[in-house]
Amino acid sequence: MTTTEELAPRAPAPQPPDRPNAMARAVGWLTTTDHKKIGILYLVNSFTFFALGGALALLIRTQLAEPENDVLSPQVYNETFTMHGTIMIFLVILPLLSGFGNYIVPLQIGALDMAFPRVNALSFWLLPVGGLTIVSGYLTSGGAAAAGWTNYVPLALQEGTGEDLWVLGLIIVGVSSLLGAINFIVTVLRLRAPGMSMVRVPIFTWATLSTSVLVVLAIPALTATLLIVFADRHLGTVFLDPDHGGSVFNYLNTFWFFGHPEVYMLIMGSWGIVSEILPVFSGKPLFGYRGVIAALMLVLALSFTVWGHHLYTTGMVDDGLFSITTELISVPTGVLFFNWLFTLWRGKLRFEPAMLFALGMVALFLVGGIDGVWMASPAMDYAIHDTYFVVSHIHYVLFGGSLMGIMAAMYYWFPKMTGRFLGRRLGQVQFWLTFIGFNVTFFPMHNLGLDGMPRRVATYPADAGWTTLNQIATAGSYLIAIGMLVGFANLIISLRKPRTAPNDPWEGNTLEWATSSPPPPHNFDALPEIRSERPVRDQRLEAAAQPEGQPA
Amino acid sequence: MTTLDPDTVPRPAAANLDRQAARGASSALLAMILFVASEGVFFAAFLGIYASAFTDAEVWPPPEVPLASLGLPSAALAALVLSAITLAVPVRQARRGRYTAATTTWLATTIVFAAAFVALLMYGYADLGFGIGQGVYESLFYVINALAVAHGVGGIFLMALVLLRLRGAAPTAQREPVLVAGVYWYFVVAVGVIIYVLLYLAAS
Amino acid sequence: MRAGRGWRIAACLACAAPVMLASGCVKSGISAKAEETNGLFWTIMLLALPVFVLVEGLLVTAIIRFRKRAGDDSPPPQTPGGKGAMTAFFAAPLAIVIVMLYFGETVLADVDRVSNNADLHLVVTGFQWQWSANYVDQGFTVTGKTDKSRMVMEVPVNAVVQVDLRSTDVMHEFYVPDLLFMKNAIPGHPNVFSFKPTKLGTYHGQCAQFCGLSHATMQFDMKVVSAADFQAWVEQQSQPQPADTTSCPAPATAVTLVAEHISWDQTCIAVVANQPFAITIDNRDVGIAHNFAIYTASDLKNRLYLSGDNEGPAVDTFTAPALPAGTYYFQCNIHGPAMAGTLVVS
Ligand code: HEA
Ligand code: HEA
Ligand code: CUA
Ligand SMILES: [Cu+2]
Repeated sequence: MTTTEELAPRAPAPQPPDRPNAMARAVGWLTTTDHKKIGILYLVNSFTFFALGGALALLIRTQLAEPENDVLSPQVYNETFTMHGTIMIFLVILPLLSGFGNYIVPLQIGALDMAFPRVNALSFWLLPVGGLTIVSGYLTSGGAAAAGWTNYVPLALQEGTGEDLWVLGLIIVGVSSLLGAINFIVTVLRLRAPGMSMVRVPIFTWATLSTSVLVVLAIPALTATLLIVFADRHLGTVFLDPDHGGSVFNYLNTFWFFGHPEVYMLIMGSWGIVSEILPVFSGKPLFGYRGVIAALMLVLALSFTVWGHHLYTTGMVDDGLFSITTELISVPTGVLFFNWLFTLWRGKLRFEPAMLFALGMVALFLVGGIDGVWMASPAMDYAIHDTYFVVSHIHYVLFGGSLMGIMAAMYYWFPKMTGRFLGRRLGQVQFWLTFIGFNVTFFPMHNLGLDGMPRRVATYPADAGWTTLNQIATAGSYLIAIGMLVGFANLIISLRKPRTAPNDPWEGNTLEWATSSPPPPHNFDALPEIRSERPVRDQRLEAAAQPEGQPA
Repeated sequence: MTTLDPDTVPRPAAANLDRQAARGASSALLAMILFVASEGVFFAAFLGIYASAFTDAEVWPPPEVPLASLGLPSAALAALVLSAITLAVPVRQARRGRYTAATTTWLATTIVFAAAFVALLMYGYADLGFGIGQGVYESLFYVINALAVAHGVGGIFLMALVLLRLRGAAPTAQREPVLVAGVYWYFVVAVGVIIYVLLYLAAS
Repeated sequence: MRAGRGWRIAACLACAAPVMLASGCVKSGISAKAEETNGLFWTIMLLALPVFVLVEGLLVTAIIRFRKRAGDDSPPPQTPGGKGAMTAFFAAPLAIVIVMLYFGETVLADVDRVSNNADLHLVVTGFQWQWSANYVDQGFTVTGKTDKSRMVMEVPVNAVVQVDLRSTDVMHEFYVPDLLFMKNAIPGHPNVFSFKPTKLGTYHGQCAQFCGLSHATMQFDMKVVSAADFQAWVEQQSQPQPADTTSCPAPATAVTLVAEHISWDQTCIAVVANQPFAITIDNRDVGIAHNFAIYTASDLKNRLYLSGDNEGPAVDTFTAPALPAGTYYFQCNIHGPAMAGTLVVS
């Protein structure tokens, strides 16, 4: 126990061999198998794609700011929202969560590394390869893929080379996720430190574990649909051709069997992050730790039973049945919310930026979740399916939920990863710009949807009455962009500051706070004893109880 | 201490990591089980398409499909079943941590049967009498069979790798590779049997 | 301090949200089914709004009341949460969900019910990127021209309209916001639905399923008119449209038709009688298929020829059989009346 303390004060030792080694360091990053470096690579890669996806979003909003606008031609508009959705879903959110998972999960369970460090490196490197393959569609004469992120057939069969690159790229990204997920599961099941029983495993690790189970069981369905599309396009098969006994249903059904678990892959990590941050900044344990785990497992199981809610209007599925399973999924999700609220209740809340983002996540994801309940009712969905109501839902859950959680994680774990704090002031500015800009952008979309504006339209008529709300949304999106730029500036500024972060800057609970910031290559010099799900807090209290112990 | 470069410091090897681990299946075995689960969903997607085409059709397989003779496919199935039986020996030995010279022989025999399975399946391809694009049944037939062949080849490759490793290795190092390859090959066997029933038996 | 004021702003914003939703943006509906859906919207609102207010309310209260005050270092109570709390957390949402499902399934059954004694039968076909509506009993078809004109369809008020929904190429979606209803048009999978409009007016309709390049302009108008007006409109539509043969070139044995932006470059072509003729389709629509079909008349009852599909961009030549002299109707079977014209054989 005392040995960990010796690490605490980081002498700002001179680092002479730093500069001349730039080349070696670059090679080091390219060939690393250290889960921490790979985690950081994941984050850098995904934030780069995020900037691209966000830039495309601004193009969308600019085009829609005026009715009958022609900033983008219809073809370019279609490519833009397709790439925006694809990038955000496949190349931003899941990889960001994998990045944090890579860095944090081995630390949280007291492991030396992931179970298969070299496979881990491979899963990372497949990601930029797949991502660039998808984006390279822009270089072909027909342009990038333009069939939406859901890539519905038969439309997708009409597309040009960009579509093939999209398919190929996604297969590569899928393999990357699959390898990563297997690695996570094995790591969590096998490499936990002595004393770390499954009911002491931190919730973020639990969330990563269940996300990985979703990946293992759902990604192959995506691979199968991609293969089917490819085969129908180039090998002459007729899976999707109704004239030869095929059916569009073969695509829709298999795609959404993957597609719905996919959206829970994108949120569970953020649930985990929030379940880590709220307790720490309230000074309380997570309320109903076991209830949260039970809720996660229920969502995991239910998520494989609801895919038909994307197909209500096709007349190909039993709407009533899927409505039941879909609405039931609100129940375990509700349990999470109540547990979070009771964690805050009677706590001593500290509003560090990480906490702001986590609270913002709770506030915004709730809206998205409740939107979901409207769409889950088939008769209601007949009125709002494929309208901006759905676009609003998408962003409340994916931006308000997943991305807000990821921002919280960024502020929370940045000191651990770099030994430096992200600026508090700029963090608050970023939060408020994002929070306000977000609502200004996406709330009016509910009203647009209810008023009948379909999604994925390159433009809309001037007499439809949709202009004002669209203009508000566009204004809001620029506000978000400023917020994100502030966040980026914060990052750059912080990276130039000296390393001042102690081992445990937030009075954390979990093992990553028991080692230095950043941790040594082997992660821990010594592990505290693990007797509860809050080992670092136990250690801190013990140290405080011993009068002659070293200062914590 | 503060200036340690993670990539110049010797890092724990995977084997050491594993020693830290709890009881139960080894990491590699667990990983293979997960991989096979994932592969199972992959094949299930195609079986789902089979099921929906089957329920939509009045006559199954579609009347225009010439009935395939069961000869070659049955031979392929026999080879596959034999491979499963011969593989049982090394797997059982590996489970018990015992290693005899016969282990490699049995594994080699398995590879021979596996190769026979793949060869027979591919040979049957040559004169099918229908094209890939005539109907969903035909498309499924080609694609599922092609996937099975690909997985069979993958399995042979894996077992061959294990065989190479076995030569001259200490008995304790035998356990894992054999079990891992075993899980994979039994998956291929299961796929092979399902294919036989759905694509060949159903069509005769 | 600062953050505190911020949170109060947030609280105001959070309160503004439901007010905005309540500002009446869900359509009131122009049929009994639509009104029921409108009611369902408010039922869900009634159940969901309290949840929203409760959760955001507790959140904001916690933020205001339980902030860490300067100098207060006493540890907060370490409540772990027990079985009782978890049971309540599961039970409360479950109860709400059950109520919601009850209303949802009831309305669903009503909305999905297809009336089997319809007053008007329509076959509505979606194609890239327009609609056509075939008035089955009246024997005529209305359609729109991609990027030029929308389809205008009329239905009589208080009559039960049954729609057979088809697609000839990719997935589309028939959506009239004021009906609070949409349904996919899917190749190979016809869908049926019915509605009974009760309010006169012209209503905006639009394809809601993304279907490629001109998805945004795949719009139409649905006019709900009085029975008398409808009758008049039907009569006007049923007038045999005098075939416009003035623009027809001289008869030939080989014809070339250019297909671009889902229309032919000619509305009248002429060929020599009793002699097979070559028909060349120069399809310039990338990724889109066209074909060439000949009928005795635009009622499509008697088909004389159908060419294979031409996947654009491509130039294909087909041979059509010899025809006796007369006036015929031709169209692309994928795009129907939007790509149609007169064939003069002489
Ligand atoms: C992070 C991703 C994410 C998450 C978590 C969710 C969560 C949910 N989603 Fe969403 N969804 C998407 C991402 C996500 N979704 C995306 C990307 C699409 C569009 C795909 C496309 O492009 O077409 C989509 C589309 C989509 C549709 C199809 C809409 C359409 O196309 O017409 C439906 C329909 O049922 C739906 C429902 C739900 C429901 C019921 C939940 C539930 O899990 C929400 C549960 C949460 C709550 C309800 C709030 C908290 C609960 C309580 C406080 C308890 C008490 C509350 C009640 C009892 C009401 N979603
Ligand atoms: C996580 C997912 C995610 C996120 C974060 C966003 C973010 C945004 N989205 Fe997107 N969106 C989707 C997922 C997401 N979206 C999906 C899945 C679809 C459906 C696609 C389909 O239909 O196929 C969609 C569709 C969609 C549409 C509908 C298009 C249509 O149907 O026609 C619109 C329209 O306004 C839109 C807007 C925006 C805007 C303005 C943002 C903004 O919030 C973006 C703000 C971000 C930036 C402006 C980036 C700024 C960054 C920098 C300046 C650099 C910072 C760098 C570092 C931090 C390193 N999105
Ligand atoms: Cu047709 Cu969109
Ligand atoms: Cu879903």
